[in-house]
Amino acid sequence: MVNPSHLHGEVTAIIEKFNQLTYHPYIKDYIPSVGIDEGKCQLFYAALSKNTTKEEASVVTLCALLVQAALDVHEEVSLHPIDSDTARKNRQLHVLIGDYYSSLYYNLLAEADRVPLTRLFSCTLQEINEQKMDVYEAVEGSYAQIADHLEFIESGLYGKILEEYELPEMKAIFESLFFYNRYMDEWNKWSKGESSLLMKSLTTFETADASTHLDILSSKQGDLMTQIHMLMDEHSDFRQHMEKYLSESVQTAPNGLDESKVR
Amino acid sequence: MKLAEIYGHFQSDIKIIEKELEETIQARHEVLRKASTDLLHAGGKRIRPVFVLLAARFGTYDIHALKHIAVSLELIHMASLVHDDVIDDAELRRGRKTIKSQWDNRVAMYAGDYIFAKAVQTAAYFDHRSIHLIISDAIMEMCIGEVEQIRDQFNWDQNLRTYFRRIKRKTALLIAVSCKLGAIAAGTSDEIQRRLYLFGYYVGMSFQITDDVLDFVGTKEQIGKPAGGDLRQGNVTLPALYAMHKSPQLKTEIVQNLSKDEHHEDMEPIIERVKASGGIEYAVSISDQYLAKAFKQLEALPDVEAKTYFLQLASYIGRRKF
Repeated sequence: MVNPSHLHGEVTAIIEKFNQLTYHPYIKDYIPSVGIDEGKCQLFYAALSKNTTKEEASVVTLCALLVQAALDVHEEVSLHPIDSDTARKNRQLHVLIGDYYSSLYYNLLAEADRVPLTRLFSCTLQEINEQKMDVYEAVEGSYAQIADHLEFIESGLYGKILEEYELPEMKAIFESLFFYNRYMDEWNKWSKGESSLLMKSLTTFETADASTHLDILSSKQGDLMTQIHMLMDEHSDFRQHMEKYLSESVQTAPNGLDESKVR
Repeated sequence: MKLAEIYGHFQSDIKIIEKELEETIQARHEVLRKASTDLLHAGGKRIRPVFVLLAARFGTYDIHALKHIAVSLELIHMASLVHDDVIDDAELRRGRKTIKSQWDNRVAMYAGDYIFAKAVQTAAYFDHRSIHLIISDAIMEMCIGEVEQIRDQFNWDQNLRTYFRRIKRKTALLIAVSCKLGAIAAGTSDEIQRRLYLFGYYVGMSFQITDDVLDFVGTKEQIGKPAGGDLRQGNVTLPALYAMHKSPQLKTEIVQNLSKDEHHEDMEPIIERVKASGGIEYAVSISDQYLAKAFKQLEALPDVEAKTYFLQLASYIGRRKF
């Protein structure tokens, strides 16, 4: 069993490489928050390194995290009309940084001469964007439908890569953990008054036996966590990595819920 | 000579590319599919695919292999246009509503990302490492060029070098790369690849300078958007650079009248001043110099039929009216 702390140096090296590749002094002034998701980085590197060399695992993890950053930064592109130069530049740079990160993943795979992986990345990215559109265009839907889309959006690329490296048994871990992360993120945002199709689907269509929204959301969270614990038991050699991810990268449930705010 | 006349000589291959483009962007999601196909049907000169095909005529020509490079490069160009419209907050492109205008910024981001992923997948038909390095390097440079363009917006003190470096990254590189990749895929010699790359680069520089001139002199109908858009957005192009250099007073007026946080609707007086400064003629002369350099590269290439078409295309691109 590999303890997360044993991978610390290798994960740090991936993060440093990411920072080095993506550094641009002008961008930093405008969008300081864009960066690598360290929790996903360590978890994915730990999984991949079970079945490939450190060098290979590092490159592929870095590429996956660049794609992740590109998708994340494009999600932050604002939709509303803007009237200040700062807001305009912020939007413009979010668009370009995402594109730049996408070109970096492609360039790194080209340097490493990994054309099959290039195909896998690009095909999966198409499907992720299709599913993002499914979610974005949906006015309502069942929890199961929306959750399926979000699970793929959050973990589809990691799952496909794990299959490529003959680690299909690890896929469920990433599906469960990354969806759980999204669930908690949606819950927190929703509790602050932001719209969430996922939360809406739960509270609108699954209210039969529950007395409050909080009960429903807590119950679903419990179900998701039970699933994760089962996976921890099944993959005991990976338990510490999963626990580390849960404790360091995933938000806790919001304190209470102002039912008048949510929509 | 009109573009259609030049393209008429290799129409069957262009049809293959158009068909392939159409098939490639058939997304499962209706909105993604419509957004992509609308953009495709809006037209465009297809400069990049055509340059791929013509460059390949200097070697072993196989349209069924080449189409993957030609389509990939056109899709990269298309994806960049979709995202550029978000960057520029543009309502119209080629006289039609932009994706961000017809839907919104989010759909434009997903559509651009989808098309870009398709472009990479299409290029991945080839196993040559060098092809992927060249394409990905070009995209990286394009992005850096655009970031620097945003950095330099409303900076009225920038110099010619900054402008040329920007248009190289923004436009010329992808056209240069189109030529080089066509040549590589056709198995030509390094020397032919080098000359074709330079040819594409010089034509690309001329193309962008002409675009920048048309932004001042073109009508809304010709360029598909209101004239003076570059200056309104604080993008300093060659005619304006020249005008400000020749007339410090005009520069002072531009600095005073065009600021970051204001809308600039009535651009006519400033546009007229730039036109009267000789900036247009200067930019056209620089464009011609780049064309001359492009022709010089062509002269040194083997005498194949494609040379004539390249010559006609380069002339058209550098002297087009819209």
